[in-house]
Amino acid sequence: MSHQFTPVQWNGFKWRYDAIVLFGTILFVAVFVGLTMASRQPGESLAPVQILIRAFGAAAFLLLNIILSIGPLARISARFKPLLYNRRHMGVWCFSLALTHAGLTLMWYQGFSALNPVVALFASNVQYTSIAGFPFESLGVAALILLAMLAVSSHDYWQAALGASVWKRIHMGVYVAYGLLVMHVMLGIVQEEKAEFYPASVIGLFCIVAGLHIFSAFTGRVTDRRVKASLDGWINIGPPDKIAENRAKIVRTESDARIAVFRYDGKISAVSNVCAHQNGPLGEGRIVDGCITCPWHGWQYRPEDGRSPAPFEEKISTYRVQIDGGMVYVHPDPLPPGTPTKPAVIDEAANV
Amino acid sequence: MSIAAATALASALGFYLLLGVVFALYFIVFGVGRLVPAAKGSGIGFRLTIFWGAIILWPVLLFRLLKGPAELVPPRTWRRAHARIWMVLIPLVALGVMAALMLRPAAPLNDALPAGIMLEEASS
Repeated sequence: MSHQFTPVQWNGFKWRYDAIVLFGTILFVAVFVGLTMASRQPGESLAPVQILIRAFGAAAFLLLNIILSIGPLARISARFKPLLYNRRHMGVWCFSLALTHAGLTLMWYQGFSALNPVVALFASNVQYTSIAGFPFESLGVAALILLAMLAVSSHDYWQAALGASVWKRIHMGVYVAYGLLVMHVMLGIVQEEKAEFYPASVIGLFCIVAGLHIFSAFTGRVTDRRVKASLDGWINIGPPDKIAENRAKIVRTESDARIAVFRYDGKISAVSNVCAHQNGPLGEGRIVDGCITCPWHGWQYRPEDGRSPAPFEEKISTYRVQIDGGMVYVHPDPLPPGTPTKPAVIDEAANV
Repeated sequence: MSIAAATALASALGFYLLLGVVFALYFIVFGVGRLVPAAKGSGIGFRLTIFWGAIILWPVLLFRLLKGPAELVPPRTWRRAHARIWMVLIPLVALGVMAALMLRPAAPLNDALPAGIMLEEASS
């Protein structure tokens, strides 16, 4: 949150998260190198550095698949939400692995050339019209440039400096990078590998990631229908006990806004479902220490006025709520961000 | 790509990054706080973190410094954009993967020698 910028706002969870990712990567690279060495056929000329190139490339690709699976998994099951919290470190680590893969590739395959290695990379294979001989390295370079843009702009400062819309558009580039990487890996495999395991793994990973995104989008559409307001302009949310304590029910208005209606301490408050940080779904978060806490990166807002607790200054829109006849109602017109609103008290309503 | 075209591409990339380094040195000292007032007085560690982004994103930052900070827009969800991206990505990748499998070479290409050596051998 924006009161003071630091390189990384470390906490115990982030240390553990990063340690697991680092340990997992080391383990993966070690197992990959070991299995490749052990399964080498007699006469197969694969230098140790080539095995390392493949190991780092495979680690980066696998990590990108994991990163892209976290979002839909967290939508499907709340158990995966903690993985969202430090996903950006995983992204930077993925870029570091890809950069190592690219650096080793450039040194091994082009470093012996009399030409500049980058020039040699682009000039050594020009079969762009052939699938069988396509210079798949160019797809990897394009993906690496995109991953670099994402990694270097992952700090919160960049969202404030570039504007949320531009920042988000840049970061949607991860899907373009992913598509390029799938084809980079696939073409590399079909040109250099006989074993069916490798293309089957790439296809399997892509199917899992794409399938998760399709499934979460489909289930999201089922639960994310627009709700009409009644004649007096209020939206009926249902009885208070249909909202879990310290959780929210998300409602989509006719104007396509999403409102998160929270129940906490015997009260009901409603705020915009969109976090001011990276547009995370606040209604999928919960109330922690009296504040609505975004499931993505832990940004917090008071439910009564949509303001972040001091010294932070972020604020989101609030909505008027009332309880009438045992039903919770929310008015779909947003109030200016940070506007205090009176929570609806559940016990009082029960006494009416 | 011909060697001349590849040289031009590599030179352009190098020039872009060189300008980026010069701009980034200015930006982390003077520009950081101009774009985001909350970053004024921030420490050297934070500025070094920003340095790499300024090298790559310098044209956008220069534009922002000249035109002023980005306008505040209401936050929004990006679900529809995500759905559209996957609707394009899935068929494109599926086509590419199918083409790669159907036109797979009968035997793996020789990658035993570094391509640079092969390039030199081919040109000599």
